Order: sequence, then structure tokens, then C-alpha cells
Amino acid sequence: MQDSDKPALPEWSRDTQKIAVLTWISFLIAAAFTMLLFAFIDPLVIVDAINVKWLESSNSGYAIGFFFLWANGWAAGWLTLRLVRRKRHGPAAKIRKR
Amino acid sequence: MAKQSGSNFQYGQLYRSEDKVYPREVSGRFARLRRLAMFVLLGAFYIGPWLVWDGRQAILFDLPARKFYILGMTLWPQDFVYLALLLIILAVSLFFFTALAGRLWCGFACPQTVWTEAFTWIEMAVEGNRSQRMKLDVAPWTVDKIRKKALKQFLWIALALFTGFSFVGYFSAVRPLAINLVNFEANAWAVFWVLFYGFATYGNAGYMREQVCKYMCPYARFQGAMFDHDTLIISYDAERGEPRGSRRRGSDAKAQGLGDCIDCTMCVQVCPTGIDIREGLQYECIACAACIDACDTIMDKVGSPRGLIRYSTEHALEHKSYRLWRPRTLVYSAILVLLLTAMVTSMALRKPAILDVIRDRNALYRDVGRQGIENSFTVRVINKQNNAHPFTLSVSGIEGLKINTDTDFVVEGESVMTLPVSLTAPHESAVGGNVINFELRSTDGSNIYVTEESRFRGPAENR
Repeated sequence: MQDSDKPALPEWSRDTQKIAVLTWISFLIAAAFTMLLFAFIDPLVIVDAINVKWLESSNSGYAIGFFFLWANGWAAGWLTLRLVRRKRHGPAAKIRKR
Repeated sequence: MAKQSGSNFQYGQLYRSEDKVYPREVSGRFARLRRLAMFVLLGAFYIGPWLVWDGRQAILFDLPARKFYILGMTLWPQDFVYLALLLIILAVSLFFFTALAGRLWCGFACPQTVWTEAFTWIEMAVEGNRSQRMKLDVAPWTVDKIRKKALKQFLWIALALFTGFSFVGYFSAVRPLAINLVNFEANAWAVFWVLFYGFATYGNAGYMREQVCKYMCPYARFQGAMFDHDTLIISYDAERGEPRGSRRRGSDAKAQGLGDCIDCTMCVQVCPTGIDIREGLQYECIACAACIDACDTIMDKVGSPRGLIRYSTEHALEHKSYRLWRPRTLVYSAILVLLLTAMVTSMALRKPAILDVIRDRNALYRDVGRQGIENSFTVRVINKQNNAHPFTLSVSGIEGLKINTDTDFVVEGESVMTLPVSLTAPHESAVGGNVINFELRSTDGSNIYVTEESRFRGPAENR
């Protein structure tokens, strides 16, 4: 019955999976930590520190805080994914096992 | 492209990377339940911001003012602990219900499921059922196809934008927001977040759908840890179904050595995550119960009893007894009861006012001659109640300590008053650092009383 040429929900490649997981998880963490951060810090503190005319509102403070945390989480996750060594499966690994 | 049509459907090929999941719509008990959940939950979400309590928006997370209004309650940033507690309670409830009945959350209540349900519903209403949609997708671009695709996109985008608007409506008063948006006068950030959330809804519910569950959801990966042998899961009764195989209508399956499964593959075709439940529980299964509905329909048609695929537990399938109260559920419910009690008690004991005392950072102390040693403070009084109260401030802790500034003032409802306070103490008692106590009392009989500790500093030794 599955004979359409256009896949509705295709399998994702490893890289797509990595990007999607990275984006979503860092989003969730950023959302949680934005709440925590602004429970203690007035967003105007951030706005004042940046001192850009068109960003002068507490809404900008929240947005900057959130996107900063999101980018931060993304960067940390991305580096982690890059640096984690995957198990080798090549011929050398098989030889070493012997 | 793998050639697969009804009769020569091959297992194992389902997982080829180029294969797709084109879920067939399904009707039945659980489909109706899921649709009901969709209407209730989406209804609550869309109506939420419009509810009014005491003349103001009932649920409003007023970010610029840093106040959260939830029904009759006003939460301040200082009340963050309640929000954290609430989130922990929700998480533990999720664990508890998962241990009891598997992924109920995923199948019926998760926003991802609910909006996907809404978007597929629109898709079905515009483009027709599964085979009509598949035909439409490969058909050339006729006027009719353009009309259908455009209508679907229009409805999707409209729903997504309305979702974004409703979401922002929880953070920014919804009535002015609606008026401003219509008049193109809305705050740029409000517009940005409407579009941001709208786009996320459109992408997640319109296109990514169950891929979010399969690849992105962290809960999907660790929910297995909450399962045990008594957890209700969607299961295929292999004992009854196997050996599976097609048979002629009216033929004696038993004589052919066949089980109840006629291998029609309907359970696989309706599965939104594209798994075969007959291979056992898999982490992709979001417990939507579509396969139960599909199988029950087929069982009715062939005249076998329903429930070849059903909600069951591993123990039940192995003919062992079921235990509702087992260590796992006991521990989860104990934690839940504990947290709920803590939350309710602390909410009940919540102080209606907050007193903050900040020492002047510029000078530790000042010698003011005969009057003694002076310390300066900034005192912040937060009145969390809706009405104004007169307060009086006093200090204690050192012999002869007195306040030089005003001690009586009125703090308006839901507002913060900041006042500089200067204290003096005689030389003989103001040596080194001494703990002092600020006390704030309401003077209108409303019995508000809060205290805050600070330090009074003087020279290291008396001259």
C-alpha cells in the first residue's frame, strides 16, 4: 500500500538527527534556564549592559537572555558531539580484537 | 523505491532509509478519545488567555512587570520556588502515570501529538483520505490540486499564527495585543514571538510530526526506564495471533495451523511512527493506539474477538498476576504526595509581604561624633497583596540602636517601595559586626509581620 513517490515522513540522516536533537534539547534547556535566570535578574540589567538604542525594553532583555542561553547550549552540545569519539569499526578494530 | 503493495508487503523493508510513513487514517474508540483530547486541550489553550478573573486576565505571565497572575494568585520573582516545585510535581506525575499506563502522555496529551492531530485533521478535510492524498501528491499540478494545496497551506498557516498569537497572549495582555496586531501597531517583540511560535507549530505539526518523537524527544529515550512488567503497554498477543497468515474467508484457520492474525498489515499501515507492533514494544511507539483501533476493526470483519492488539501488561501476557502497588508506583506516589504537601503548605504559609535589606556598599560605617556610628541601608518592601497597607519598620539587636529616617509609610497594592534607611548606634555598642533584625509590621490590623536579618558594622575596637 505504500507506493507514493513522495515520502511523508522520511527517515532522517545522522546529521539531520544531530542538528534536530541539538536544536530541540538546547531550546528546552534554554527555556528552563531563562525562567531561572530572570527569577533573579531583572532583564533591564542585560539591556543596560548592551546599551543599544532600539533594544531598550525589558522584552528585549528576555529575548536576548533566551537566545544567548540557546546559542550557548547549542554550541556546547555541538562541540560535545564533535569531540565524542565513536567506536571504530574499520579493519584495524577487527585486527586489534584478535 | 521498494515496490510494496498490499499482498506482497515485506517486513524488514520498512526500515529502509528511503521508505516513508504514510499513516492511514483510522477510526475507533481510541481515535475518538484522541480527537476528544485534542478538542479539550486545544480548546483550553486557545480560550485560556481570554478568561477573566476579578476584572483582569486570569492567566497572565506579565514579563515586563515581572508578575505572574494565575487565577486569584499573584506570583513574584521571589516566588520562583513555586514554579520550580510545580514543574517537579508535573515531572513526577509524568513518571507515575508512565509507570502505570505507559506513554499516555505521548499518545494523547503531548502538544506535539495534539497539534499533529489538528494539522492532519485539516489535511484530511482538504485533501481527502490516505489514498486520495497519495494520488494528489503524484498528480500533475492542475487547478484543482493548486486549489487544494493552497487551501491546506492557508488553513495550516492560519492555525499556526493563531497558535502563536494565543501563546503570546499568555505573556502580554491578550485584548490589547489582538487590537494592536490587527492595527499593525503591535510591539515588535510580540510580532516576532507570534511568528516564531507560529513557525515552530507549522513546522512541527505540519511537517516533522512523529519525527519529533522519534528523533528529538528526550522523554522518548528515557521513558523505558519507568516501565516495568506491570506497566500497561500496547501489545500484540502473539500467543493468540501466531502463526500469522492470510486465509480464505470461511476457511478453518485452526486446521491450517494459523493463529488469529490474518497478516493484513493494517496495524503497520496506521502506525504514525512506522513500526510493526507485532515485533513487540519498541521505543518509537508513542502509544497512540491506532493499531488497536485498526486491528479491532479487522477482527470484527473476520469475526474474531477483539483485542488481538490491546492495552495489556507483560505479566498479563505471560498469564501472571497484575500488581498495581509495587515498589516503583509506591515510590513515585510517595514522592508525589510529599511534593504536593510541601507545595500546598508553603503556598498557604506564603508571606503577603517581602522585606529586603541591602547594606550600603560605599561605606561600611560613618562616625557621626556624639550621635555614635551610622550605617546606611536600602530597604525594599514588597506588598504582594492587591490592596495598600500602612507599615511600620523597627530594628533591634544592639543596645541603643535607632532609626533616623521615617518608620511609617504606606505601600500600595502589588508594588515595591524602596527607601533609604539610616541607623545609628552608640559608640560603645557598635563594635565590629553585629547582627541586627529589621521588623516590618502592618498597622491596619491585617497582621502582616516579616523580619529580615542584616549586619550593623562599626570600628574594630572602641576608641
